[in-house]
Amino acid sequence: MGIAVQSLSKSFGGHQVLRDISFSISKGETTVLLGSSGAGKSTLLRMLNLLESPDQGSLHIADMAFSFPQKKSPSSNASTKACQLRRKVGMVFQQYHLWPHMTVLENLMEAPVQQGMSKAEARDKAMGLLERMGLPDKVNAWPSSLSGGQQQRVAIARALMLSPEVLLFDEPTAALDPAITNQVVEIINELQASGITMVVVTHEVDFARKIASRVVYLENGEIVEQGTAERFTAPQTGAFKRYLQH
Amino acid sequence: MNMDYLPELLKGFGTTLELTLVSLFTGLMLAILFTIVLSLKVRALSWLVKLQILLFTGTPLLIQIFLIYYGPAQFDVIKNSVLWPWLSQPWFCAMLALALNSAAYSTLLFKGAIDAVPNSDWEACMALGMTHRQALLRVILPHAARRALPAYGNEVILVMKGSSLASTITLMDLMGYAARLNAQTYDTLTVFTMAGLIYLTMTGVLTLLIRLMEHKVLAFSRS
Repeated sequence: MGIAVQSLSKSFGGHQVLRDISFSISKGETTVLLGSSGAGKSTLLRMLNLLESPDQGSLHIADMAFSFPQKKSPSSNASTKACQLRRKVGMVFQQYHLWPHMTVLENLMEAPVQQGMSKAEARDKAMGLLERMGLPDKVNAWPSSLSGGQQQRVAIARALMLSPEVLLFDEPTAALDPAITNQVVEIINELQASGITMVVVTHEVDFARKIASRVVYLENGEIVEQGTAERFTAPQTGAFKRYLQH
Repeated sequence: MNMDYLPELLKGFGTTLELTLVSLFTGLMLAILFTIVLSLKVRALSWLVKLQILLFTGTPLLIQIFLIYYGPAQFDVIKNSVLWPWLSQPWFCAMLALALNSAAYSTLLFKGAIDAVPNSDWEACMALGMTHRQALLRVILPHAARRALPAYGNEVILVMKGSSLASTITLMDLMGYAARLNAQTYDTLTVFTMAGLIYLTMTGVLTLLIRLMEHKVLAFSRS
């Protein structure tokens, strides 16, 4: 099983950003969360690895189950479980979030070595991933010396170091120029071929069409339409149809 | 210029250097402790640290040195305690005043550097399954320490120059020997020019060392 989300809701202050969200994703699928800004798609993505905590609902992901509001168990227990979850559910941020004071190799090796991988093994794995991302010569570079597209590929490699079952992408193309966007498409399609489950937040329809096997369209914190990639050619709702046209 | 003064002045050089280094080290240890107290928001202790910072950044170093050296002698309780062998020595009192003064300023620097580490650093740690403690010790503190180095370099220079005030409580450091030579010869211009040049040289050497260190640890921000 991949991911199942049941009746998730979230408010910030008095403003409800997500309302009764339910969907499920099979293993190995690439699902796009599509919608204009403010639709709640990034908040929803951040709930899938508990960077945001839902107010209500339940979440099954990577063979772990969470229900909200969480019981008043010792808080250390809940945060330990969240740590375990995040080791299986990787994330690539819109602004990459590389640690600027560490080299590319150090960025890749830090988390796995902390979590018990030997340094030699981590180094080999990092070298392999950088090779795969087309960056073998950037091993000892500082993140600030890389272009946006290169930083993003490092961020993807860093997330892959923990061999996650699920990989989350937050607006992976928002900060990149169109030529580089195609590189991201290639990488995501290659990762899909390797069997990893992915959830990608974007507001760009063209990019979504190129990578999605499933689509979830959101407006104002609610799911308006969801289905397979065929929905791009045959939308069922007027709202999604209008969104696809502009 | 009369070079005969030089050997006499340099007799105090060792004391100045020792006072500076021991004060800086003690101040640094205290500052790290105070920063942790402030970061973890330990209620009563935070309040004490804030009071210490207020007192030691809000009053002149000279007054702090006088109070620590002349103050305890007014109390028989302290004179009869185990602390007296320490508090009756000018060297120890000057070191303590400099260390506490430096700790107050350094704590402000370090806390500021930790607060200035962008939230994205924390988020990346969380997203990779690190615990709060792992993130703080392995990623956030190393980043903050690098960012704090240039400002801490200034603090090192300030403590070195501030150590000259120790001569006012009879300590024979570089400044102490300069004052004595001046009283013996009345050759004021030459004596204090030479003393000033020795301090200037020390500042130069320390600045160079700090620059070298910055060059190494801040390499990431240059590219």
